[in-house]
Parts: sequence; structure tokens; C-alpha cells
Amino acid sequence: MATRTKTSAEMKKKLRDAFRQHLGVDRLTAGQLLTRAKLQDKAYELAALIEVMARLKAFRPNLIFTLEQGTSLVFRAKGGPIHRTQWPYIRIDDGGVTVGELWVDIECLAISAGLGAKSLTGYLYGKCHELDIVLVRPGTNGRPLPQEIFLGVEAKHREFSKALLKELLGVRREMTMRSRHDRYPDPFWFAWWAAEIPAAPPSGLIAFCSSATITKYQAPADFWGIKMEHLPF
Amino acid sequence: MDTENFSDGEWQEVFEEFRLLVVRAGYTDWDASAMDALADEIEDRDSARFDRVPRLFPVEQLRRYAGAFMLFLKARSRYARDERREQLGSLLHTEAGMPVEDFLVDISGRERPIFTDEDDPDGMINELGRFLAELNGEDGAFWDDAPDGGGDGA
Repeated sequence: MATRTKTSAEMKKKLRDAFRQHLGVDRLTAGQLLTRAKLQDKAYELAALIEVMARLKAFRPNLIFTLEQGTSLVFRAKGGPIHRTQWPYIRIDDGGVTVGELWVDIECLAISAGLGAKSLTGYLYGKCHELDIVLVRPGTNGRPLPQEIFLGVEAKHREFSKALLKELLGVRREMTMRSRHDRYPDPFWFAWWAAEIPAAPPSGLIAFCSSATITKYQAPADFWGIKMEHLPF
Repeated sequence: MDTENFSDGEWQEVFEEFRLLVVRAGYTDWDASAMDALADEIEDRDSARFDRVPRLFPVEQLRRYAGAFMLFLKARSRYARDERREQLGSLLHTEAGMPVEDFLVDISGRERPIFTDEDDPDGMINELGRFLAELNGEDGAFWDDAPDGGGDGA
């Protein structure tokens, strides 16, 4: 067991050695390193997806989750529209009736884009926004419209900050309108955390974050019907 | 010399080196978010309203940053992988009734497992645990247990 001189230069060297040995700095290619960073984010999305299913199941014990179009969950490095024959998704049944579908890494159309945007293809320049996980109405195709979304989920495996809050508020503003309403019979079967959400169309947005600081930002989120949830490791 | 005698300038250098290594490891987005959060915390402190001197000393910024990075790496630890498999298998089944226990990421048309053998997050988590213990003055194992990764000593 060697005794080391405690200097800042030695401390930096020790850190460099650790990053090389364990995280592949200077050993893995740039492409491998960037891919690994993507995998890190997807590992947290996976945890968030499992949490969503567990919460829904606890709220509605009769729900059954079935993976369609594959035997493995597949996340997409880059989000896109729903392609029912190309990507696996999770069908949700309640008493033999399909009540929703869970998809990952989906671009959803913004309110400001209008109904006509559903038929648009290619890059939409801000007319849609990617959500890490979406719970949509059964049979939804392409980029979901706001009224086709039950629940959007963002998974943030990082320290929470005002910049992330602004991003969430922007996404929420383009998902639904703030509204108190009673037009929808039993609209929030998917909302395990609240009896109703101030939103029309009636959808929810959950932000999971591995940092406890997310809970400090609850007040503006409540106003817009965003559930801020600390999901630690 | 002991770490308790490090000057603020020396701690700042170590902190900047740590950040550079995080970025070189590919985690640029994480670094940006961590720095945003640190800046928010400095800005939100009452005393910061009256001057522009950060109220978090460099060693404290380093402690928080390194601690957060250690938690970040846990997402792909062996424990997380095993726990995710068990949780997912209990909730989700294929159409044939088999539990779903595999999770992949499609990157440019190529499917990659989320948990790979190309790196060793568990080893780094342990190393960071020793590093934080050193920063907290709890344990000197960070110095004694030298990794054999081969440094340039620069």
C-alpha cells in the first residue's frame, strides 16, 4: 500500500488515472464515448418507464402491460413519430379492453402547429417536441396530437435547474391549455397523483429527476399541471 | 502537505480538471446541467445578491459536483441493471407471455444494450466514494489505493 504525497497535482493525476481505467477516457473512441453518454440517459428513461408502469398498476391494479412488436424494449437515440410496425410499444389493457399505449422517444405535435400538422413529414422546425415517454390513446399513429396524449413523461438524470424548468414549461405550454373543466367524464384514469389536472385537452406531464432539487420548483409546475417527481438512484 | 491545506486556487484547479475529465468521458450535457444547478444555487443564496463573489468555495463546488457525478453513474451500475431486469420482468410480458428483461437503444439503426462491458461504472463509483471521503476528511484510501490505469503524471 503506497503512501502518496497529497498535492493538488497528485490528486489530478489520480483522477485522470481513474477516468482512464474505469470510464475509458483516452481508450475508447470519441464515438464510443458519445454513445455511452446516450446509454446513460436511456438507463434513466428505462427507470422512469418502469416507475410509470408501477404507479399505474398500483393506482389501477387491473391494468395489464404487454409488449407489442418485439421481445425487447427498444429506446430510440433520436425521437420520431409513432411507427406501429417498426418499433415495439406497450399495450395497456383494463378488463380486456385496450385503454392506452406507452411509447418511448416520440415527437408530439405542438398546439401551435394546428391540426394540419398531422400530415406533415420531415423536420418540423419546432412544430413538435420530443417526449421521453408518452401514454397515448389506442391506435395513435405518426406524431400524436395534443388530444391523443394522456400523459407525457420527461426523464432528467441530472441536477435540476431553472433552465430545465423553462424547458418543461415550454413543452407543457405546447401540450395543452390551462383550464379548469368538467367536460370530460373520468378523464384522468392515468393520473395517480391528482383527482384532476388543470388542462384541456386533459393530459398530464410528469418530470422525473434523479436530483432532489426538482421538488424546489413545484409551485410553477403545479400551476401548469406538471408533476415534479424525485426518482433517485 | 494535507488536503486541508489546499488553497482555494488549488481546489479550483482540481475542480476544473474533474470537469474536463467528465467532458472528455462524453458527458457534456451532464456537465452543463450540473454547472447550471450550481450557478442557480449560488444566485439563490441571499448574500449573493449583494456581491458577485460566489458563496460556495471551490472545494464545496467540487464536493457537490463529484457527488452528483457519482449518483449519475449509478444509472448503469450492475445493481441498477439487475434491479431494472427484475422490475421490468414482473410488470411487462410479451404477447407470448414471457417476461421482458432486455432493453436496447437504437443508435443510427444499430441496436446496443444499455448496459455494456466497454466501461466500468461500478469501479468509478467506488473510486469516487474514496475521493469524496478524502474531501470530507473521513478516509485516506483515495491516496493509498492507486489504480493501475497508467497515468502520465503530468
